[in-house]
Amino acid sequence: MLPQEIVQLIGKTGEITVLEVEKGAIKKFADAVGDANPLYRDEEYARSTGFGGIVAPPGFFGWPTKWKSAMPFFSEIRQEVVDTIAKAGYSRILDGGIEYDFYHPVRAGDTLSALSKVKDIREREAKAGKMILSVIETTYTNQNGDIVAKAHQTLISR
Amino acid sequence: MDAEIYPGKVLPPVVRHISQVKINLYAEASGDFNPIHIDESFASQTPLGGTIAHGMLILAYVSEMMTQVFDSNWLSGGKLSVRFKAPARPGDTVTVRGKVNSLEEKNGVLYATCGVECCNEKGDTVIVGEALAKLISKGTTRGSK
Repeated sequence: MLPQEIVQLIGKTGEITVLEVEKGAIKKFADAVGDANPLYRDEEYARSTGFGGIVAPPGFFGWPTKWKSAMPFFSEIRQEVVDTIAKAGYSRILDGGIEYDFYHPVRAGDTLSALSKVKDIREREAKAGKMILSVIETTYTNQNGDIVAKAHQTLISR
Repeated sequence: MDAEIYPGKVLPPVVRHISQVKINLYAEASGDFNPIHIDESFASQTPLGGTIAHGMLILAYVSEMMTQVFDSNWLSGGKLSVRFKAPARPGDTVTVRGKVNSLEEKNGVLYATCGVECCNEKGDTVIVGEALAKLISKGTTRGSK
């Protein structure tokens, strides 16, 4: 049985974080990851594609400082989960994987909002002993209300 | 244009040399200045023994490989599921590889399921997982340049 203070976290959401997606920042990101695709930097080329303009590479969801609390790796709600579970005696964190679903391209000029939620927390018995699996879901929505991407991060606490 | 996608098809690998300069550039672009990535004296005192690349930097390389093959069907409609197995460090050369494992139809849409892996030059797995991409309207979004 999970302690009540952990169970209470299931379904809890963090704060909505908003990010305006700028063309210059997309190029900076693409440069930093060494991706030479002109779709991320050449307006003329991007306009000639089905996208009709510059889009951001999918990796961009791991992005800037003010965006930090909306990233599954850094969200405050994730930290709350980690801290609460650590207090219950499971302080060692292991990566349980991350999943991204990309539904729509992110365009230069978009305003994205992101919301993280504790999707699930469950106990599991393994050979090495008891562990707790937590899933943080982050949903990214654009200014038209379209969900552009979702991320699910699984944390293993032992 | 993309060659045909079929089970067993090997995706063109993405090879990158990891340097502290590149890690610092990613820190600036992403706003993630965790000292484990950028502060060598701090990182050397941790169990990791030195700085490591951001996991999301390596994930961007996986996404680059998928975009090269699946183009817009990756950027909208792609699904990536990975686990981080080992850190990538400055001085490492990492190679992202992928292979189409199967083609499956779901609700009238054909999807390619690809196994993806990123290894360092010693053969250690950095990232391993699965990527799923739609196989519709292939090539129609390519630019004219």
